Amino acid sequence: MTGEAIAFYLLAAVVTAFALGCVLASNIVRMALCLLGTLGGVALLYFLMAANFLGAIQLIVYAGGTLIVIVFGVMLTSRAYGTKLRVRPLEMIGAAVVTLALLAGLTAILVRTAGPVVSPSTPDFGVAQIGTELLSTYLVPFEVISVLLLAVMIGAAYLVQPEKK
Amino acid sequence: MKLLLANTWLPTSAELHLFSPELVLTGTIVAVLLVALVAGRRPQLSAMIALLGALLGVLATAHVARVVGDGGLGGLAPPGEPPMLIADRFSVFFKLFLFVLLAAIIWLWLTGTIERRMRATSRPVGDVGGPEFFVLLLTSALGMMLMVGSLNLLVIIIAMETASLPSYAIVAADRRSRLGAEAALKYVLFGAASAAIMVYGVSLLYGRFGTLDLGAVAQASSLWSHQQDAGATGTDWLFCLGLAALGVGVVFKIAAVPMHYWCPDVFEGAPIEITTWLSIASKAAGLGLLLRIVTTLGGAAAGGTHHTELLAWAIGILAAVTCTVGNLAALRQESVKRILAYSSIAHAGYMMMAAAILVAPAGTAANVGISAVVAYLLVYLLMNVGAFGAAALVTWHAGTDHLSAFTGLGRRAPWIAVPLAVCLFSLVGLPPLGGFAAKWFLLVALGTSAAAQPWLWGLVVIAVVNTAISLYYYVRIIRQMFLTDDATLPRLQVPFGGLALVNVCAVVILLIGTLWFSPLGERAGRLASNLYVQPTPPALTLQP
Amino acid sequence: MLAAHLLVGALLFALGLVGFVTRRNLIIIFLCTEMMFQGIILNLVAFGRYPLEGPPTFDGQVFSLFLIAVAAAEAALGLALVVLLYRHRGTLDAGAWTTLRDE
Repeated sequence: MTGEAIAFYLLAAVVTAFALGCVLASNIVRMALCLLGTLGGVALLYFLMAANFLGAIQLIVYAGGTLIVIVFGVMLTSRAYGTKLRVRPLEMIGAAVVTLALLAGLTAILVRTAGPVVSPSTPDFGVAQIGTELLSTYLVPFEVISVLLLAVMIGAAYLVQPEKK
Repeated sequence: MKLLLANTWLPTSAELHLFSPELVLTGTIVAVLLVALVAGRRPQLSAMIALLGALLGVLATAHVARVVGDGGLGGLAPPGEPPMLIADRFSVFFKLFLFVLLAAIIWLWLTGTIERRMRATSRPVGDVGGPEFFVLLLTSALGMMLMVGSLNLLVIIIAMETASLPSYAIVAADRRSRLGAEAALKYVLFGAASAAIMVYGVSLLYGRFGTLDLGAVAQASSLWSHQQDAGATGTDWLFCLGLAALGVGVVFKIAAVPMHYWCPDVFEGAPIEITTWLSIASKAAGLGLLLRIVTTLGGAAAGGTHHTELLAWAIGILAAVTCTVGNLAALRQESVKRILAYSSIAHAGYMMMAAAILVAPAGTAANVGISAVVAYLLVYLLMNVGAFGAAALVTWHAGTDHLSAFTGLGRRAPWIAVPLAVCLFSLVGLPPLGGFAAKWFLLVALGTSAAAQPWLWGLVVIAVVNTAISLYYYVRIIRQMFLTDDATLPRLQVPFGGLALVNVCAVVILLIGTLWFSPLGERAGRLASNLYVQPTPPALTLQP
Repeated sequence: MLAAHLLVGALLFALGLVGFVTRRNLIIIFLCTEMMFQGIILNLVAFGRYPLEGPPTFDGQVFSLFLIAVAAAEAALGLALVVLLYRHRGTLDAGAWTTLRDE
């Protein structure tokens, strides 16, 4: 077993544990922390796959941005903080069955996809290369997503704005 | 710096020319924002700019239609790469369709503001407006245009999100309305889940074929299928799973079974202008995307494969179930918005039936289905704008869209009741109205393709039976308008703009059912005739 | 290695989806969509790194960048909506919103 494989399995175990904790947690803050753990673990997986830029973006955008938005959401709705919307045992069992069925189905299909046996040599895709691609091949989606982000920003600001009397 | 810029690529003006409708729309978004910045929050001014933008868009699209001519064109990618956006008559039709619809919706909104000012004493119903509203509306229109104008899976996903995310926000545009907020919640929950499933599917397709270009995916999959057919019939599970997951997102947009639950709730809770917009535009864009996907896959699979047959069956079954579920559920509704919501689900089912043709083994039958859907969509636009517009006028006046608000409308407001009745009869599909023409072309398309796929006759039977069922609930509204009356109810004072809109729709529906019957078929056939087709690379050509 | 990566992706996706469907707290529901997107992005990066055919490419990574932006936009809009909903009802329970339904 190579070092890469050992690191992968360790990280996979960590990510799985955090993800399970995230779905099972009843307290929203604990859940957000578990999500942070999952996101961090996945970012490390990206680094392991030589997707360095993506891993960094993952940490900045998700851990730095999305989670802060979520914390804001939690604070703005603070009166509901601490209210526990517990999942009933029956629902829990149902959810577990559905998860296992879904996973079994996906596994049955995914394990058939035999990838390359030997890990291919890792070309280092630098930031410059990704930037060039974004401004050439992917120019159109890049422009469209900027319009999308503008609209979403306006929409979100509009929704939370208090109504004038 | 110089080195980096040397590697970037910028489209030439000739290429940008082809996509001027999208540019006009984006320019309008910016104009709405900038004018609001300078002139302050003046909803009517924003509406005027948006309306102007939509009309300019119609002109730009008409111009592109001439440029596109007979061959579908691809563009906006560096030389040698598959195109990011494509322009053919099919996508041009959708752009024109959306611009016209956009203009009608803004017109309806303007009518609504006049209505609200007329009755300033009562609590305004569906009070929406402001520059944000129009920015969100225009952005969702941009997303829908791009959905039909691309073969790149990444662009398709971003376009779908660009269509969806602003729509979630405008459903809750009336921030004081609890119903609007609830509708937005249901919309966003279904939307987020189906988007995630769809993107998961796309990630599998990307992995399976190593490309994001749908044309290349289609060629690679058909090549694989033919190689398999030479030996044993195999099923490419990864491809099927990816395609099914991609389908979930498309089906959500069309609001077909099994992703239709959001539709009646969102339509009831949203401001009625937005209900009209979503009921037509979202479905049209979803259907356009579905047709684009199946024609690309079916076109590459010359002669049909095991996979395209599976796909045709899946679409056919979903279409049959969708239209039956929509019609049966509509029977029990008391709210006119909900009746029309379920009716729109049923019509989505009829139109999806045509998509089952496209992957027929015959291969050459492709255009029949597309032209049937194009004709159907045109008539559907008129019927739904007319029906929802009339319902909006009554709703604004009565403060509710319950069936009882329509009592005695034949006496109280004949200029609403008669066009509404025309639209409803047309939705049933009775001659001599446009709805009959639409159903006729659809059934003929199904019938002529049934030579290759005998099971299409089943869809024909289901469509006819469903038409008979739907007669009941449409006639229920008409009976309420003309056969019941309450003498204490006063006559309705309605703004002229709204009357003009619904009556124009009714007159055009009548014209399509009579004088323009065959021209509609011809035009639709021509629109379906020059789909953009990915040139097959020599390495992938099939050995006969 | 590819199948292992795909399985981790499938696990994240399935857990997120099931959490999305079963949990009732609105904020948690939106956190679950983030988890689903993590599974998807992991898939994409893994397919780019260990492609079924040909040399590794970074199209998957570029795709992932776009998806991160889309997911962030979705989260922002979703949470804005949560704030609006909370203002109306004073609760984060998704089950409290049942006015709109068939008669």
